[in-house]
Amino acid sequence: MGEPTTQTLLKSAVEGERSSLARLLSKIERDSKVENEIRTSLAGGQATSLVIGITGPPGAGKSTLISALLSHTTASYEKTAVLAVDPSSPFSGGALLGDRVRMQSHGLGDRVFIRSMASRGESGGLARATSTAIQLLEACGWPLILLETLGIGQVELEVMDLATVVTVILNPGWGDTFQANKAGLTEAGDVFVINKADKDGAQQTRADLQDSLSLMHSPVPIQIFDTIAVKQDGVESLWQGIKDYLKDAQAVGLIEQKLLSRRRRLLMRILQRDFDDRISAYWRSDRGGNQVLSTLAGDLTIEALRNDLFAHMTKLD
Amino acid sequence: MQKSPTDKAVYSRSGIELKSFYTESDIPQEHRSRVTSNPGDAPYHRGFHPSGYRSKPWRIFQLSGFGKPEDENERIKFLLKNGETGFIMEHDRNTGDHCYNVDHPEVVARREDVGLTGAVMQSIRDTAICMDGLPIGSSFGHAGGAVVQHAPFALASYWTVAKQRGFDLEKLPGTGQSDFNLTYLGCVTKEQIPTQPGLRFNADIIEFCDRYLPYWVPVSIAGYNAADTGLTPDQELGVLFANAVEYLDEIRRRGSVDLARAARACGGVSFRASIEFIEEACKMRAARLMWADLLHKRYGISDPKVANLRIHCVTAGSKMTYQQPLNNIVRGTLMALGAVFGGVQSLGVSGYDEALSIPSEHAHQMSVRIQQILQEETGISNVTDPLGGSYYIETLTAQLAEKAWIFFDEIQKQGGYLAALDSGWLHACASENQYQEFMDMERGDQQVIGVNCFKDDGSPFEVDGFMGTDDAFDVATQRLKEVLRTRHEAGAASALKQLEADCRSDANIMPAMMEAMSAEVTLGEIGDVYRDVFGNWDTPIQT
Amino acid sequence: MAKTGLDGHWRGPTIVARALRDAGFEVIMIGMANTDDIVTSAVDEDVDLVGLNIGGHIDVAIRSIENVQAVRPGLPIFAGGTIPPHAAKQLEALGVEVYLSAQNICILWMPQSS
Ligand SMILES: Nc1nc2c(ncn2[C@@H]2O[C@H](COP(=O)(O)OP(=O)(O)OP(=O)(O)O)[C@@H](O)[C@H]2O)c(=O)[nH]1
Ligand SMILES: [Mg+2]
Repeated sequence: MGEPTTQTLLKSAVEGERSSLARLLSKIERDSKVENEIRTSLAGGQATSLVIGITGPPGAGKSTLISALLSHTTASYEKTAVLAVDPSSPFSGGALLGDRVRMQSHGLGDRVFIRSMASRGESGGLARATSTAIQLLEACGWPLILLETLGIGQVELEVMDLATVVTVILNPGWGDTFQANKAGLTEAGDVFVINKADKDGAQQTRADLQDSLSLMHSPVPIQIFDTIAVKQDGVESLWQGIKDYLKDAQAVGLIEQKLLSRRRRLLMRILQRDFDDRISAYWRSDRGGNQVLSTLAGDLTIEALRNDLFAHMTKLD
Repeated sequence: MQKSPTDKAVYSRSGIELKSFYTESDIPQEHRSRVTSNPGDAPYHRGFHPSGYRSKPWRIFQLSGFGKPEDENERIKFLLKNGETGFIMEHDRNTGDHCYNVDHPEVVARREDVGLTGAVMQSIRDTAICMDGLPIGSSFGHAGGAVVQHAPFALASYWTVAKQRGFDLEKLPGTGQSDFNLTYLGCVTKEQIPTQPGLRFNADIIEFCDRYLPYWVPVSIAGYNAADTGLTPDQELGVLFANAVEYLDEIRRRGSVDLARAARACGGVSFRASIEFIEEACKMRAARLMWADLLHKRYGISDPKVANLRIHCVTAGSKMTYQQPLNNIVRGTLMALGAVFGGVQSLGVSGYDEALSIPSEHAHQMSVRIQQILQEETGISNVTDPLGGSYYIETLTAQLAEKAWIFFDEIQKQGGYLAALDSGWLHACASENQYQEFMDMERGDQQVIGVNCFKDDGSPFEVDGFMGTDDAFDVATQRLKEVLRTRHEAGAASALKQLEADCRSDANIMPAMMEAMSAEVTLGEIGDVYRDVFGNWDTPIQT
Repeated sequence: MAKTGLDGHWRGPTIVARALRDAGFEVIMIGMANTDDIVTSAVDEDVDLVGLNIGGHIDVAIRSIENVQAVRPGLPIFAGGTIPPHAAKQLEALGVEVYLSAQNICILWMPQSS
């Protein structure tokens, strides 16, 4: 009986078989060929699921907040999927994935699907396979996807490319500690949360944040919520706030615009990645290797190397 | 200690570089004058009392508990008959540590675990069974309640039973534990009140004992739990005093108890006695030195009755091996010897089957016998501080104290002991050491007999391990129903309401807890109040 | 990696998790988890290996092992903890291989079954 093919798995996953979905997610994480195959099979599908990005510095309470949100999201949507990304060790390639431990015991059974992902060296806060994973979850009928990035404070926020709405989680004291990254995070967010509002300095952080946000021009009002995720405090208002944002954004056509640009950016990145793979293949091939050596020796111009690459890259795999 | 060529540096477990021998000139300057002090004199590193074990043998004090309260009661009586001189009542971890009744879904999901490591005590009726016929008036009893949120229940139920039996609380000896190192560092439960209310509970217990139970040791800070989680001996010392300072500062802030009396209350502590027994003996000596120093400098207390630290010691459970378990009898003996060289007041030796199960009756008996052989046959009790004055011992004692203060200061830099627990900083320290220790063993840098050298096949099967009982869950379930059915419901409800009100205010919770015990309020109901009022501690670790 | 019991000593599973991470494994920590949580995680995360810290009664561990095997037949499971010899023998009877590893950690291995 051997391992079922990708197509068999895809069929049963789309029909709702959880273990097939889970297996496919592993396959796309491991093998970019499978990822390509899935993307091709699902091409043309509309981006219909709502993807809520949850981002913010390490330990801000992203996982805890997601856990607290689940009882509210499942009241609005039938089911909720969570993708939670944690960093891989740059030394061993291994990872300790700790998001799930905070999301246990939601008591919602089959209506929640949680999947941990290691970033596997990808910068930008997500994993290489995240975008395809979202496509797959969409195809398998998960109407709402909560996407937790790994804890970052950087500007390059890939989550903006994938999420319909980005929720940025900060803590009291943010103004002092994350000075350098303020701009990036505030640009990324559609909804802001000051979690751990039980700690000192929530007021100051709100003021700092309002300061930074005043420089933005958003067609919809941007709101800031205080939460204490461990106590469920403020979580209901936050969920309402996210829904309000979506409604407002819908009204001014922002959602449509976002979905379109999400698909454009996805397409762009798919092409970029294929391109990267092909360049690598060329680089490793005998022909490419020789051409590179000649270029390094000065026998070949860079221009000529590029032309050779373009001429031969399609033949490689 | 590692085996190495003579030119390679050798370090103690605390990371102190060791010379191949010591001379008088190695003893640090500031320690020279201390060497000439006598046992019983400040700064007390030489011991609690000049006549030492001649006048007061150390207490043989073994952890014991499993099954139903009557099973535990029977085991305690067995140990007492065999010469134990105090007794410890362990409560079931599943219910006790979490303040759940047995019908809590998380407990039901693991029903076979119930009663594995302690007896289930959900109401005063269970505690009464466990205490039946025990010499509570004359013997030093440990009421259980090792975990902070559980302690008020464990203590109040013990005291209430004692009162009902006609004992005068004013004279009742004993202790609980209510240990932060266990609760928030070594044994992190699924649900637990946060550290701030935890501190409040302990301060409440100290206040209550000060008023009503002067012979009771209200809290017992356990370095043991920090050490067995991975902290080195110097860190164990540092963390213990960082913890003590947290209690005393809180008492000082409240101003409700005379500070010297509170300091005496906090001065009954416990340490781990591990296998590097010379360093461990020095650790006990350093601990007394540090306590006297701390009380004097920080609180201006130098009354000898207060500044003289009393130490209970337990041999290191994590050093007991699964393989060739009879070797553990030797290990237990050596660890005990180190503790006794260090002049401790009370001692428990881990069972030789520690790595396999909770102690069998035979293993328990051996733990008592080891101590009796030391006391009666070796003559070790004849002379106080037998190692005192040794160049090496005195040097290492002083160096350990110095290194421990550095760790203490680092904890203060983290914002203090509670902050270092909340942030996970202490867990990270422990975790790093655990891993290094483990890798040392894996690589063979640290030889452990029977484990990574001198191995044989199948040796654990020489020893059965303890089988336990299998009816603890069922009986507890039945007894819970019985209590809920037959108690005076209105009384229980109003006692619980009062307890909740006191939890919400800043009243001392112990009087209401005592009332709740008399009214037969159950453990799980109290836990529900805690969860509602205080919420859950955000554990910084992921398991 | 899960802890089947409610006893919170975390030293064992943390050491093992870290050793696995350093050997290149991606380790999903799920903490103190009951059988249902363990089964759901094993399925949703499509794990290659389940690690259990079984400090408590062997029947609790066996329930988790059997329920995981029911939904993921053949999935290898390893476990460690304070495991009395009589319990180890019970596990051996189920096809679990028992290895004695470091000091007080007893590693059990449920090999790929058919
Ligand atoms: N005091 C307080 N602690 C919180 C709150 N929310 C979360 N925490 C705690 O903060 C710590 C980190 O929470 P996580 O949910 O793991 O944070 P995260 O942002 O997902 O962390 P990474 O995924 O590691 O970046 C945990 O100990 C939580 O219990 C809150 O509202 N108040
Ligand atoms: Mg997280």
